[in-house]
Formats: sequence, structure tokens, C-alpha cells
Amino acid sequence: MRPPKSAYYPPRARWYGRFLSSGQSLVRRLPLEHLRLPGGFNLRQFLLALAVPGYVFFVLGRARFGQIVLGAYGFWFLVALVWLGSSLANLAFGLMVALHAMSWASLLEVWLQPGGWQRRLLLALFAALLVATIVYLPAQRYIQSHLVAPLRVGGATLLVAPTRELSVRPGATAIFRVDAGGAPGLRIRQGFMVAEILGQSGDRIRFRKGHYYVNEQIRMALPQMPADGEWVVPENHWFIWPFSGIGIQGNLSALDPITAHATLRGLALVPKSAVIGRPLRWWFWRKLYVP
Amino acid sequence: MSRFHNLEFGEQSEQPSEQKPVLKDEAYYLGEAQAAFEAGRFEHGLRAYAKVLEFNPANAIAWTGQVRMLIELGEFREAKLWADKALETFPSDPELLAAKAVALARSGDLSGAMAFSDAAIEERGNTPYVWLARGDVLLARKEKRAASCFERALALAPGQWFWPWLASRVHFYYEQFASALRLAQQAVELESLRASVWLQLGRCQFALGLVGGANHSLAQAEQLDPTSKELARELVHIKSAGLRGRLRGWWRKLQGT
Repeated sequence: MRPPKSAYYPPRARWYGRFLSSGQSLVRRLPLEHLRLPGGFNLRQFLLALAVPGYVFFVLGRARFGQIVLGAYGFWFLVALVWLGSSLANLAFGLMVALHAMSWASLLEVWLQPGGWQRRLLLALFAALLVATIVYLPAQRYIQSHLVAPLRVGGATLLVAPTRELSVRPGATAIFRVDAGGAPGLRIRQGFMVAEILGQSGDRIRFRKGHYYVNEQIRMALPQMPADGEWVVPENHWFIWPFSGIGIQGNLSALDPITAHATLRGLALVPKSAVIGRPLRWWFWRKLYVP
Repeated sequence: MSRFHNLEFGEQSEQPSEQKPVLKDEAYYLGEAQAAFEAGRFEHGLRAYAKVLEFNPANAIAWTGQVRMLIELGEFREAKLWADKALETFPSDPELLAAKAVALARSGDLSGAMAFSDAAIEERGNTPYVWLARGDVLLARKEKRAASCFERALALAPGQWFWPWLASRVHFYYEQFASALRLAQQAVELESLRASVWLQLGRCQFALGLVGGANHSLAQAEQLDPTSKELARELVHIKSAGLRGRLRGWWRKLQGT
């Protein structure tokens, strides 16, 4: 039914009105009205003071200081975001936590009224611990496992977009997790390596002097590749070479040929589950280093 | 010639009926709006009140009526907005203040609702609606004082079916089905020729699991007003509710709501 064109006909609920109405009904059913928060905060103010750094100062009548805290937090947030992975970003992240903790400490002070600088200091430390544990560490973990993570690989910091093992293909450059291991006289440290995927499950790799074959496709040999031999890439594995960023203590060439061959094979044929992501080449306007 | 030709049927049969053209003015639409409200046709009521305002924008009854229609249609946010607009012109109209209190209460702003309800009473709003609205607000706040407000509202309009019917609707909204049923029965006793009253009774009975009674009440309503869309919707709802609805009704009955 079309609403009449009259200045005296009220605006009507939109299609989402039903959802709003359900929300209102829920609000009415919850005993929020009877909830009394200490310090003269109502529930909305309390929740905002927890969520927004500096908001507590607006409520406490120190709007100017609140603006400064909020502005500083926004600034450091941008710095941490844009320069993610750098020392500056780490510093910015720490300052964000500190500013948020200061807000929480001020909120707690309203209630606990600690008195004396020692108690206030303790309260501030407690707030910092609380805000880091409840907000920042879980957020950091979530971002790093779902969005982007800075990673030290072979002395360089890369930004990695976490990816599922199925979404990488031969020809792609990926980052792999390396488990600790090695042989007598050689130690491989736990860490990460960056490599291009050269072959997939079922591919036949044949090594010759100066070149190698993936199935029937000839390619130039890469550093430290064997001069002869043949491997078949096992099920659910990738074939990669070289191993940029890997931490090896000892000399591979000093090992006996059989052990060296087995070590190389262990490094070159990696399980698909070891893929942790793809290195990003650009982050905002920054061109990133990828080995 | 027919053998009934010479029979007298009174003056009406002798003279062709001359209907006066209806003057569709402010009073006409106000009557239509009130009739639509009483019939539970809130959409129609909303339009009729808008027509009234086109004739006379200073008609506070029509502004309040529109807010009340929006409340009955479950559009509380819009009701609040429209009440705010109306309050710009009539800042101390007790019924308008009361209607806004109801809109706020149903939106979850219980303290705001109480403030507006207080303001409505302070404006010497000793009308059934002002007390009914206060009962509505107190029910939202789960306060026991609500019952006395409803009693007061009904006492201000003794013998009128409209107020117990409206009070029943309020109780139904807050899922106080036993009270809603009692009030609906009271309304039926006062006016048993209204489809809207039987429909309300049927809804309450169904909510309490009294399926047989509900079917009987809805059948009465259907007889009285076969064109009611609200009734048709309710019948569809009851038929589609099936076993789950019945079980829920029995459960409510056991709980004694």
C-alpha cells in the first residue's frame, strides 16, 4: 500500500524496522534500567569509556584532555598500521596500549579512589595488564592469524598475508614454517623460509649437471642443487628451492653425501601444511622487500 | 399486476431515498479515524488522522491519534519521532506526552518513558488514556503499580468497551496473557458486536493454549467483520502455529501468565 502524499502523514518504518523492534524488545527485557554503575556513569558511558581511549575524560569533564588522548591514539594507530613490522610500529603499538590503559586506570580511579601515588601506580599497572590481556593481545593474535602478520625471515621483516594451504599453486612464492632438525655437524633452527613453489605432488624431479627437470620441463639448476638423482614429490607436499631465510648452523658440504642428500630432500620437499602465507609486495605506498 | 401491489410498506418504500452528500470535513475524518481505531484498522486510522490534520493542523487529538496508531502498528521509533514533531506545537498536551511515554517505554528507554508519563499527569491529564499509558510504562518497567493505573483508567470511563479492549492489547504486548484475557472478556461483555473485541479475545485465548475458545472467538469476529485484514492475518497465524503454538500456549497456561 503506497503511503499518501501528505505532509501530515508520519514517516513509516523501513524493512529493517522489524529487526529494530526486536532489538528494542530485547533492551526492554534486560534489566539494564536497574543497573547502577558507581561513579555516576550510565551503562552506555561505561561501555564507551572501556572501548574508546580518552572517552572517560569527556565524561569526567576533561574534554580537552580527552581530545588529546583520542587524537594521540588515532595518530599512533595510523603509524602502527602503515609501518607495520617496523620498530616504529612496535613503539606505536605500545603507546596505544599505554593510552588505553591510562583511560581504564582513570575509569577505575573514579570507583576505587586509591589515594597516594603508590596505589595509583599499582592501579595503572593493573589497568595496563588488563587492557593488554583482554583487548590487545587477542586482537593482535586475531589480526596476525587472519589478516596480516609481520614476520622475521632471514634477518628481514616481511609482511605476510595468512593463507590456506589450498590457495597456493606452483609458481607462487610462499612462506613456510621450518621445524628444528638437522644431522651431526649441522643444525637447522626453527623458523620460517621464503621460497618459490617449483613442483607439486606427483611431479618427477630429475637433477642433472647445470639443469634439472620437473617432469619433462627443463630448468636451470639452482645453487646447491644435486648434480644427479631423481625425486618424486610425495602426496600433500610441495617441491621448493632455494631456502631463503632458513637458519642453518654448520656446513652442508662437509656432510657425507648420503646425509647431505637426505637433509636437502627434507628441506626441499615440504608438507603443504607448512605453508603459512604469501609475502606481501606492497603495503599502502610502501614497496616491501621479498627475497 | 402483482397481488402485493396495494400493500403498504411505509414511507420509505413509497419515496425514493434521497441521501445527502456526505461532507468530508475535519469532523468526518476524525470520526472515521476513531472508527478505524476501534475496528483495529490502524493503517486506515493513520490515514484518516492525516486527513484531519490537512483540514486543521492544530488538531491535537489527530496528532496524538497518529502517534497511538504508530504504537499499535509496532513502529515505536517512528511514533517517538512523530510525537517529538507534535510536541513542538503542543508541548504540554497530556495525551501526547503520554503517547510519547509509551513509545519510549516500548523502545526500551524506561527512564525517559517515566519522565514523560510524570509530565503527562502533572499537566492535569486525568484521562483514561493518560492512566492507560502510565500502566503501559509501568508494565515495561515490571512494576506492580501498573495494575492500579489500569484500574484508574477503566474507572474514568465506566461502561465503555474501548478501554478494557485497549488495556487488553497493552497486556498482550507485554505477554501478560491472563490479564489480557480478563480485560478482553470484560470488553466482550460490554460490546459483543465488535469484531475487534472478539479478535482480541481470540488472540488471548490462543496465547494461553485455549485453542477451542480461540477458534470460537475468531469465528465470531469473522462473522461480524469478514473483510478484516487483521483477522485474516490472525487466522493464518493460528493455523500455521500448529502443535508448537499449542504447546507454547499450554506452557504459558501452566506458568499462569
